[in-house]
Amino acid sequence: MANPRADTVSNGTLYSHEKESNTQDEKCTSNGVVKERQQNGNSHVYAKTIVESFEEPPLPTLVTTYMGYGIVTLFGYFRDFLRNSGLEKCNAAVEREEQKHFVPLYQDFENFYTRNLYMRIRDNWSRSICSAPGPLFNVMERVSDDYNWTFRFTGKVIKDVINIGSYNFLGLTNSWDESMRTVKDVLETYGTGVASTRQEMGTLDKHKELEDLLAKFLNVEAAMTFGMGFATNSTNIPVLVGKGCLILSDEMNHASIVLGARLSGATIRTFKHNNMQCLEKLLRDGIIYGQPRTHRAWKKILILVEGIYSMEGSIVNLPEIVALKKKYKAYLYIDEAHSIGSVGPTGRGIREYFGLDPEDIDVYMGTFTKSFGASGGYIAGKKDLVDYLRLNSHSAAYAVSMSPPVAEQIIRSLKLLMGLDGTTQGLQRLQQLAANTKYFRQSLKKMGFIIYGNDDAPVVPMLLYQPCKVAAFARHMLERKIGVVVVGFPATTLAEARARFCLSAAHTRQMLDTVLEAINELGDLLALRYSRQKKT
Amino acid sequence: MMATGAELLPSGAARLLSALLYGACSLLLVLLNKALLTAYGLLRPPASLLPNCASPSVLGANPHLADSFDFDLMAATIMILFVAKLNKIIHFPDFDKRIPAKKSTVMHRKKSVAFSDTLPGDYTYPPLTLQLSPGLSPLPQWALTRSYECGQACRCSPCSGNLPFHLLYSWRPSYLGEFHFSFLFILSVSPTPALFLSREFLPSSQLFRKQHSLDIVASVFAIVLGAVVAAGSDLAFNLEGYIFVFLNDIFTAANGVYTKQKMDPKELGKYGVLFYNACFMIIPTFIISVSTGDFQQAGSRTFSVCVLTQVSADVRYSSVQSLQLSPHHGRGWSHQEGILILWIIRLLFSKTYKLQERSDLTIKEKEELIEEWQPEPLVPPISKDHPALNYNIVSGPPSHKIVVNGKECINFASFNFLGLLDNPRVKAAALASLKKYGVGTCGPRGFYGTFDVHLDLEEHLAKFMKTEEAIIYSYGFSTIASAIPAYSKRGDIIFVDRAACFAIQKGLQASRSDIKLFNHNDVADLERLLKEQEIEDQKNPRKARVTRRFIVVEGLYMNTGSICPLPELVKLKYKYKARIFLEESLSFGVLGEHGRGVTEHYGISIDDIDLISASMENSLASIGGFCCGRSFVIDHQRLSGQGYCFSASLPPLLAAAAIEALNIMEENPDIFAELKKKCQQIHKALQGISGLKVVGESFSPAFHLQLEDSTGSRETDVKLLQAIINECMNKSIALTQARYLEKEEKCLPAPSIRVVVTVEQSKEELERAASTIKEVAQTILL
Repeated sequence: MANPRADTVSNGTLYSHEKESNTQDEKCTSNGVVKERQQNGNSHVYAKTIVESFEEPPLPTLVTTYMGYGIVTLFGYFRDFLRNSGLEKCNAAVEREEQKHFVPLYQDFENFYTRNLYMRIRDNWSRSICSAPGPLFNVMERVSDDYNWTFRFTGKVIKDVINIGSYNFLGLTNSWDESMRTVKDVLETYGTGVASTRQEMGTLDKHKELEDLLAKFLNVEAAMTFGMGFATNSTNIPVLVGKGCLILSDEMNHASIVLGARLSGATIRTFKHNNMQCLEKLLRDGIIYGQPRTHRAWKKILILVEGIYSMEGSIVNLPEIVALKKKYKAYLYIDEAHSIGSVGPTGRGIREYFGLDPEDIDVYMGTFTKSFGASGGYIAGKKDLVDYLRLNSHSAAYAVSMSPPVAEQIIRSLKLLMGLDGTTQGLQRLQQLAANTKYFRQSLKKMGFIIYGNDDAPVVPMLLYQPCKVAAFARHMLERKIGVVVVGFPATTLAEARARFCLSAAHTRQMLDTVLEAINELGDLLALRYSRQKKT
Repeated sequence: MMATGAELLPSGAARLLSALLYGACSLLLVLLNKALLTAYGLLRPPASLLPNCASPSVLGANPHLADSFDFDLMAATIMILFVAKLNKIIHFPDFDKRIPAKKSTVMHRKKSVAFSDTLPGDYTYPPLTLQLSPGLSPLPQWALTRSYECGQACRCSPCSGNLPFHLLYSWRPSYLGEFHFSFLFILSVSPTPALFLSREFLPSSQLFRKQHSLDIVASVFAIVLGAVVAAGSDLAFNLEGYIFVFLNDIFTAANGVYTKQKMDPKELGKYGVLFYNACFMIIPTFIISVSTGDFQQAGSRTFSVCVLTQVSADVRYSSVQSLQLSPHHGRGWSHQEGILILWIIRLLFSKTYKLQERSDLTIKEKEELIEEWQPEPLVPPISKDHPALNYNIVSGPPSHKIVVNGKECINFASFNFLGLLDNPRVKAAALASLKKYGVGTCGPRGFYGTFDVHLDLEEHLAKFMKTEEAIIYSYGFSTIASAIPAYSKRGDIIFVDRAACFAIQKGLQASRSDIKLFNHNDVADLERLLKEQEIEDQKNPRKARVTRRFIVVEGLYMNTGSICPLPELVKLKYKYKARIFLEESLSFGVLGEHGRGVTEHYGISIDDIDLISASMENSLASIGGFCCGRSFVIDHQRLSGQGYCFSASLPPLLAAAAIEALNIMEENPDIFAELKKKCQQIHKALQGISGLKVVGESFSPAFHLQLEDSTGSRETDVKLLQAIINECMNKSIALTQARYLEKEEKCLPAPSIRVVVTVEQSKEELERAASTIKEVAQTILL
């Protein structure tokens, strides 16, 4: 079974434990597996009870899913055979004639998946839009005359598609309104580019203003911003750790964290997603046995986690991680790409959500792409840390700094969240987002779909399993004028293809109802109601 | 040496003694071999089993090893038998001229056995096989060698008797406590029993109609099964190699069977056959060894190796002989078998295998260790007055006139070559985009982050560069850093200029390929490396067939301001079949009549370059980067470029600004000539400053001023240069040092002031800048 979680239970049993009550009531259902994790580390300190569920699919679903991949693979081999023998026209771009005798740029098998699986359903990704990615957007209609090898835009626009795919948590990405005047002003005075790096001639007063404001927002000593969220991780993790250091990384961490960890040269060990026993074991073993072979003690241990995992919809078990980190003197780096500005009573992210102390986390990292409707990323924390980054960050020395109008957009969003604009809009948006999340998740659950993750996470993965359903779901939703994101292998495990909904404060109840109704219909059409949890 | 004559049936005690002797010899052998092999670094079977890491040189050495062993073995045989004969321990006829004839008749009768028997004995064939097979590097050559050795050992007794010997032989390393090694060893040796079966078991049972006891049959089949499993899981499985081994063994087996059947021991005696066999074959073997250069190889190891080898071979061989020339019937062996099997069982279960004495820590000890551990601080403390810590703060737009730290200056520091940063047209386009799309994209390209402006920009760029396709990234730094690892993987080879910029270095690191650095702009050095690689490839054509080769260069080098010798590189590209990746962040929008970069500058067809990458942050005065080239190449990044797939897409207003900047470039191609003229002007004006030298091409809009004579310490150099910059800043010329991460750079460039020319700078301003720098440098450096 391709389920990556260690504590999955075997089929046919129900496993539910509530640490708090110490009552192991076995709510056996006749038809299969329900796994629910309720953890409450210390109810005196944090009021939050982490309720996250990762329900197992019924066995026949898994079997048919793998069968589906098997059939497509077999058929892929058959088609490859046809293509190689010239019976079927191959539409893929080919090597130049002059370079045919070079070592092939791609191994044949490398592209097998792309050629034979992805190509069939490629129309569900990279759909182009021609409006702001607000709650409603316009999708450019495109058709393919050669089974998705190439696309042709018809020139028509599918108007007012409900956007439940963009990470527009606070609804701050929209087309022009008066509140964006400052952005316009900055654009007109500064222009778009900077054409220099932070260390050379690219530190603008705007950047300083942004960093000061951000530090205040996050309640930390200092912050530094970078031009790209991905690069924030990949160019700064190597600055913090290096050879002789140990990185403990959640297995579901984003590609940028993985890249940064790899570039650092430190030893990387991954722990099962959000699994504290596994993390503690790694911590203990790391300290007790030291580096492999030499057995020297590690210089330092850095735990890399995300606030909200975008593919799982889960929230990091921060209280326990902080407790572990303190116990074992490790450092904690938290990527708040999806949680900053989307959770916590005032949108200050996962730390606030759990009501922890700002000092509890060593490195706050986040991006401005999602809640703030801009681009770029930041690292915040102690002044020493940020000063060190100013000196040593790869981005600071070699990469161009953030575009001034983008910086202004972030400043504007921050002011909104902090109430510095003189309104309560920020809080209202946060409350709206929380309400939307709750409503949407509960409705889907009621309808009998398998939903992953935490009830408070505004990212909602809904499991589809079979590869054919991935395509069908996305196409049918677009027909109903709803833009959804679907994800399959390799972004997820082979069996766990899913649709991912991202809620926004800008979604009205009516929009959500439309979406839910469409999902409900498709649930019947495509037989997507896998959940065997008792509907309450 | 205990000689148990073939005629006499030895007593039980004698047999026991011989078994003990055998055991002792084996032990000695083990120790000797171990000492020998480890001392000379030859013991690396596990490496040869791992995929891809088996470098040809390591594997190449193994057949030679086998060969030298073989040669030694023969010499040892001759020596031992001769000494034994002199001492009258054993008997065989003296040499007379009938002997070659006798042997050749024997051989003549073995026609059916084809190849291996054209040369007497089985000394020759295995080395030959090995000679033929060095190209088959992924094959565990060690196994070949071992199978051969074992074959040698059991050759004298083709019946079932030496199965335990094989087992023991296989287990030999484990006895030394290298348990983790031994498993791999078994894997590598496991083809041996399979061959043993083919050689000894089947033919002999068929030819001699011999019945084997059930346990032997079972154990042989178990071994064969193990061998099949091992061969199946052998990561470096190579069919050709296994066929060679198998053929070798069929021939050897047939030879053994025939020799046994046809040769009358009464004529020459067993020892006689061995002795003369070795005597005759040592000459051709010697010749083959010398002619193939193996002898030199073997000889280049010191004399002591040879001696050790010889001794080890002697011991082994003698012990084998003492045992195996005893009665052939299986029954006679039962004691020895029993002992050996017991021994093996003991080896299997004894605790001495463990590599480390794993005395488990108690919980208390663990807690203490955890308590004791003190990590380093997350970041080392830094002094507050570090020169790089206090950034220049620019108030207002970073364009031609710039306010740095409160002082208005002319900007000679930002890469705004074409002055498009505050171009009203660009701003207007960005503003229109802002009004339509807002700022962010809220998603990666795959998930509704693809806007029509992105597609427009890609199309524009592709058209401008006259390539099939372009792909945009949302950050200049991540462009080449993502593009390189999208193509080049572990095992591939990248040839890269020493002066390559940091983003390239990170790309190389992420790719985990083999990196070969050549001297800056030194085509001869690159060719040398390519040639070296070509020779390496010829040694291992199988690997070469799948090893991609890339040459990564910059158009204009960020670190040196010099241009790459592209025409020569293109020649090398076709000569050595390597692909060229060109980083054009500085040259795009600068060089060439239409600003298409180095290719246009040299008049090279852009199709000859496999991938061009550039940032849009310099000439285009926006943010982001792009790659362009043929669709065959570029399209791959849409699923494999990490910075493309996993990052939010470029804010549409920045894309719109880049489109407008491209339009301006297309409309005013004169701008590039103008820029070139200005570069040449200041370049000329800055020549001849005492203490400062100009580094970089005269047409490069970004070049360096380095100290002519370094003070010897980087820190003081940096301080000196900073003093010049500060003084220039006071005189309204904004300059900056080229900043490097000193600890991270692969080849750290010398400290320098980077001067950037833009079209906005007027002739007078350039003149003034040059004279100011000159003046300040003179006062500070003299």
